[in-house]
Amino acid sequence: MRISTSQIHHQAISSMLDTSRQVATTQQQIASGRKFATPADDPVAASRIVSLNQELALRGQYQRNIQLANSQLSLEDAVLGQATEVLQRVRELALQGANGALTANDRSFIAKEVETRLDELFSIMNTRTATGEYLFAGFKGHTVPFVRDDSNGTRFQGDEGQRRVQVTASSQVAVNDSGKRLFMDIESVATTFVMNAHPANDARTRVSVGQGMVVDQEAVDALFPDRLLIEFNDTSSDPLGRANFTVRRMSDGRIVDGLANVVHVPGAAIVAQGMQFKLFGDPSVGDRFIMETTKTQNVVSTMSRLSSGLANLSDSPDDLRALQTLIDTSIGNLESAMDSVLTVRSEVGARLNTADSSAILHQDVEIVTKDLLSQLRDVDYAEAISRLNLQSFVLEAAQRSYGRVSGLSLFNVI
Amino acid sequence: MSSSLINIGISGLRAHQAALATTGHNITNANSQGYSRQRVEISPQTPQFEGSAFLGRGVQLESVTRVHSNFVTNQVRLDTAAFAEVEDFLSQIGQLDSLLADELTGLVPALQTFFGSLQAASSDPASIPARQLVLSETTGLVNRFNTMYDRLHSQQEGLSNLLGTAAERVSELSNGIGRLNARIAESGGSGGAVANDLHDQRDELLRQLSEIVAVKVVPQDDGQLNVFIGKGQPLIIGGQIGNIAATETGDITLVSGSNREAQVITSSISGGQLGGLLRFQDGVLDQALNHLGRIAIAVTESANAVHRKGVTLDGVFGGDIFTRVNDPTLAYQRATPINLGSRPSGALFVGITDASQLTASDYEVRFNLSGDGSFQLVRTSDARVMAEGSTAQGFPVTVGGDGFAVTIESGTFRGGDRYRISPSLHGGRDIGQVIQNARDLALATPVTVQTAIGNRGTGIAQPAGVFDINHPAFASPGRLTPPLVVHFTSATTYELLDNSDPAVPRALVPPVHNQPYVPGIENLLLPGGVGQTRVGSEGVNVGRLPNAAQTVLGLTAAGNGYGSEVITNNRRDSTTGVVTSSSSVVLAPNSSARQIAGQLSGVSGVVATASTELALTGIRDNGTGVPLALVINGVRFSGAALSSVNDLSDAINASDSLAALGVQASSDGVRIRLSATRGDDLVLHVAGDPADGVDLRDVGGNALALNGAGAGQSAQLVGTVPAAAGFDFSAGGPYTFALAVDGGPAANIGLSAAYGSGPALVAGLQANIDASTIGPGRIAVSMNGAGQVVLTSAAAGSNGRIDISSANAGSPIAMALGITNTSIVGVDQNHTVTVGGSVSVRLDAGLSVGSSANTVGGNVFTQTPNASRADFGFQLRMTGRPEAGDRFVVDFNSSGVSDNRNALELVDLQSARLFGSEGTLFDAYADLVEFVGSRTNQARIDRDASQGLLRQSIARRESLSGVNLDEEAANLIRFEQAYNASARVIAVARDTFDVLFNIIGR
Repeated sequence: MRISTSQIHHQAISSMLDTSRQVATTQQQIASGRKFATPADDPVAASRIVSLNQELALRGQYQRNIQLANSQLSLEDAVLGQATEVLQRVRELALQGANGALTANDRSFIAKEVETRLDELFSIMNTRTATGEYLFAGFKGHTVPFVRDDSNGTRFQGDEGQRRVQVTASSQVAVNDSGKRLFMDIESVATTFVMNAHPANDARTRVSVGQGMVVDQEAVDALFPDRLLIEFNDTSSDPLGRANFTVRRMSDGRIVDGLANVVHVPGAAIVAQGMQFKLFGDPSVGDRFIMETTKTQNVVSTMSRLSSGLANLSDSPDDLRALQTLIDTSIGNLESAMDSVLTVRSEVGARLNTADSSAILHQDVEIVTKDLLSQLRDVDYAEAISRLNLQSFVLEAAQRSYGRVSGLSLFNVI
Repeated sequence: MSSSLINIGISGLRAHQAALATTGHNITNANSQGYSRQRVEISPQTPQFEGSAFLGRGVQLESVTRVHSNFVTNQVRLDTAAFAEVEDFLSQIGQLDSLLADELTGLVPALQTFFGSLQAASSDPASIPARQLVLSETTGLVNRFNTMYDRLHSQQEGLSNLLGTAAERVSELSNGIGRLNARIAESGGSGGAVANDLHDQRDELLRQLSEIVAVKVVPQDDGQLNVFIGKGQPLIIGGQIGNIAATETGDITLVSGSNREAQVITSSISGGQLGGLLRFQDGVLDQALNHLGRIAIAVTESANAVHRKGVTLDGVFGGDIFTRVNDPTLAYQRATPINLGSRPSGALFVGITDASQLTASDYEVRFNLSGDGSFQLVRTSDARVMAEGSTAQGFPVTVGGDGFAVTIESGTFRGGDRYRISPSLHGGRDIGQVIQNARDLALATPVTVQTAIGNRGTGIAQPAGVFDINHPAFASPGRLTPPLVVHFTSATTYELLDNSDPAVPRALVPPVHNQPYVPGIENLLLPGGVGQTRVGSEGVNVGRLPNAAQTVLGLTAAGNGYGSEVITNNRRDSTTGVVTSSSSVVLAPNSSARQIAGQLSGVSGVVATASTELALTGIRDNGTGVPLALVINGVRFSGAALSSVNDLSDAINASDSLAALGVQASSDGVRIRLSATRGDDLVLHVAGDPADGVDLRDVGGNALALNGAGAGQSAQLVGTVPAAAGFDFSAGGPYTFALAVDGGPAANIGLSAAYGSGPALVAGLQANIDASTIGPGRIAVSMNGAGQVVLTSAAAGSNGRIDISSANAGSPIAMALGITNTSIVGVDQNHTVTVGGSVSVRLDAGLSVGSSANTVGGNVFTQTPNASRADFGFQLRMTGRPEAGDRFVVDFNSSGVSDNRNALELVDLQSARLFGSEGTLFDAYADLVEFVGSRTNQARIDRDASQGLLRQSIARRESLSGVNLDEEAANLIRFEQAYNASARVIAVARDTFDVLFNIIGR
């Protein structure tokens, strides 16, 4: 084949350019440690790398979530441990109080300690986390969950929300527990009741409700789970125009026997269906109170009843019998409370375990994913360097041969 | 002789001089672009006949030719065009490829940090710094989308510049070729000699032209070349030069030859720089922009939808995170006119309907050439007709495409008008941040459920999603309207009550009672899903006691008085909107509500529930003679059970057979509420003396309309005269209504006069009745203290029954003259009344019912029953085992600052399959990377291949036409020698001449 002079130069130059481009590519691979510089070098691997990177990022997020869950749950665990100690101490105090050798005076000292312990428990129940949220308030993290309440010991202002944190793609771990479950819904030895003022009550005329007590357990048991509604009637319902109220069953509105248009005497004990309560203050027409029967009793109520019994009951045989009953039920209720706390505490432990095992899973998968990513992305140095050697050798050969060939010309000899 | 030898020598000198000159020309042009080596063709001159032989006359210069092959030249042009196209395509897509490759400039890191910040906020929703971080990352994400859009868009602008330059270059080259054409044609005239160098120049210009666009070259006889581009569009015809230009929209136009009108030839251009740029512009850049826009729209739509369902730190529903995709300014920008010229464009609103369905293609609205206003929506990628429509019937007209809808709102359209519809092209630019305040981030769920303190069961109820925040339930901010309480009436049934007043939970309107609960599985507590409607039985007969005919003597019930009725089910097709009547249900007369519900529930998509409710009050026993006894659905109550309503209520609840029927009673001491929870008829029989009986009310305590009274009793009909009507019956009268006493023949009583006062009306009515076939003394007309007209039947010796069987308006009671209602009449002595219940029908989306509304005996349904929403706008789910009496209070989640449930839903978007089978956001982005990457990769392979081909054809051309200096050196020697030899011939000729002269000279 005929070769033109420019062809000789052109071919030599273009093949040297090709080779030097290869050398440059290999050099870039070695320098960057990556197999390819742009997705075009390996489109399939590039899109897989996007997915794998996303996978890694997700796992990282989950691990951060797990750290957070761990710290929150550890706090809860510690706080619940304190609560158990308080309850155990109060139980010991109750047992002490049952000692027949003690006088009323002695018992009043015990009552004092119960009160102190109650304060301690209250601060535990209103624990805040590092971020300032109340630990046991459910979703209402900025609302004080437990406030003192004369009639029921305490009132729960939080809700039953349980926050969950994503720890794996498919599972979440709860990082809090509602104080309602922990301290309010504690199974009681007997059916009891809670008095609630209706939210629409006239705010100007504060009517308070004294501590209620069950006087006829059978009647209360018969009513349960129905509720009673106390409603203040128009004063015209009373012949003398006095404030008066009627007590009805909530399920069907039937009036509880003998409790229609009862004249309101502040502080007078009223018994409805075996439940004794007292109303204080100056009510408005239409003020309503709901007496909710329940088989639960909150721990504050249990403790404050215990302390008021220890403080107030005298050494008379009647009072001593009442004290015995009180201490028996209190111990039963305290044990239920401890059960409740322990149940939640064991759940917290289980959640910590779940979080830990998820964390281990994430670490394992992370290693595998990184390995896969490295296989897709990272350059094989041994192979790349030997390739570079070969390519630079070829380039050098091309350069040398070009030098030789370009020097050949007939004009040199004529 | 010698003169001829001299001539021969001279011819040799001439010829080889030319050969030497040509060789020199070759050597000096060894590096000239497009130069073809030239060769001197020499041949012997015509011989001369000299006696017996032909004597040679030396050599002559035939021609100087260039060594070249049209085929090879053409091949070089083709390969040049192919290579230039790929090369330019590659240089463009390479930029895009590296943009997507960089981990810092790609979209993935921005998406990851955005979702990461949401995760952090979901772990600590009350924290303002964590919320603030979400806002900053939102800004970051929006900026990243905008930046990527800008980068792609600036590439688009650079592309337009390149196209313009290339078009100018085409014009320059075309002019050069045209000039050379002319010169070649001129030079071709002189004896067939060819101007080799001009040809070479022209071929070189054509080769350069091929670098810009692929050309087809056709020679003319006179040596001129015609050049065509694209699909035969003439660029150069002889000396006529077409003019190519690039428009602002990235199109290429050609003004050529005779037709001086600019012609758009974008789609027919191939090869060369222009081909490569256009291929990148239409095949890659637009698609990449669409891909990006699609992701932006999906992020916007999904995040906004979830966020709007959530509740902010301040307890109100969240707004938008990103600018709404169907913001009018954005929606109008998605349609651009293509060929309207200077005419004003119409208003086309392009709304996104389903982000997951969007494709990377563009669309066009094309008006049919007929100009009748009909148009097609065409997908550009595969020319598929997506929808057709017409503006002939007026505006607006809406047609749907892949996840979007085009609404033509106004405008004047001519046949052939076209609009480009780009649903997602500008998505990356249009995404913007709306939310500005960290408190406005809606991380909580609007609904909470609290278990009541008295609950005994283990049931746990939770919100299961809000699906419509525009539901009336969420109409007042921060409140649920009404708040609900789920009350379990047994371990397996519950009712939903309005808890607006926690002291007195009330039934909802319509009531939701007797709902089944299955322990052990997850139950959805609220009936009614998205799009379901509820229809209640509200015919004239429902909620009333039956007509007098059904209040029969004796124990045998005569049915509830419900008429025969045909219920039709209509189904509306969601896409076409066509309503078809599918099936019909025939209700037999006197069917109980339970039977009706059973029949209706047999229809697919229909769930009907029934309940019967009735209130009893005023139990009367005259204390003598036969004691009062009540028989309720076959169960007899007497004696102590009737001493008070409380006792009767307790006795009813204690009856096992009534409990088996689902009949329950509750008493508030005044009234017994009697309900048959499954909708069975309530059959009430009264035994006793004439004065014994019981009054009936509906559950609201209102008097029921019962026509007829018990035997031996006086009966009253009370009609209210509305104040507005006064006592003037002259307008529109006469008003007639048919009255009958004791079941006798009905008499038509007409009122047409204007009465000045109540007593005058009483007197007039009395006179009318007395004058009728009823006769005097049977009915006494009076007016009570409330200004109501009272008709009282004479008691003694008659049944004392008054029936109003019809009025001229067609209704038995609601007469135009204003008698709107009759008062309660009790059931008494030896009479039985059967009360039917009401039916509540829940219909799937698209279903509706109609009724034959037969007026005979009254109807259960009205002809077109009012349909109301069946859903609550949200759903609750419940697990566990509740017990009777357990209650769950459902209310708005106010001050739920630590609630992260909506945040978790937002976080879930990152792994949600927002693009259906195409996967998540990240998958969609990986698709884009892969799309560009694989095309770049393909282009590289193409480049290498076409480069190889180009090199080969150049090598062939070089091999044929290129100058080899060695060869030329040899030629120099050869021609020099021949030249010298020819000179020698002259010398020899001179010598021979000298020899002759010498001889002669001696």
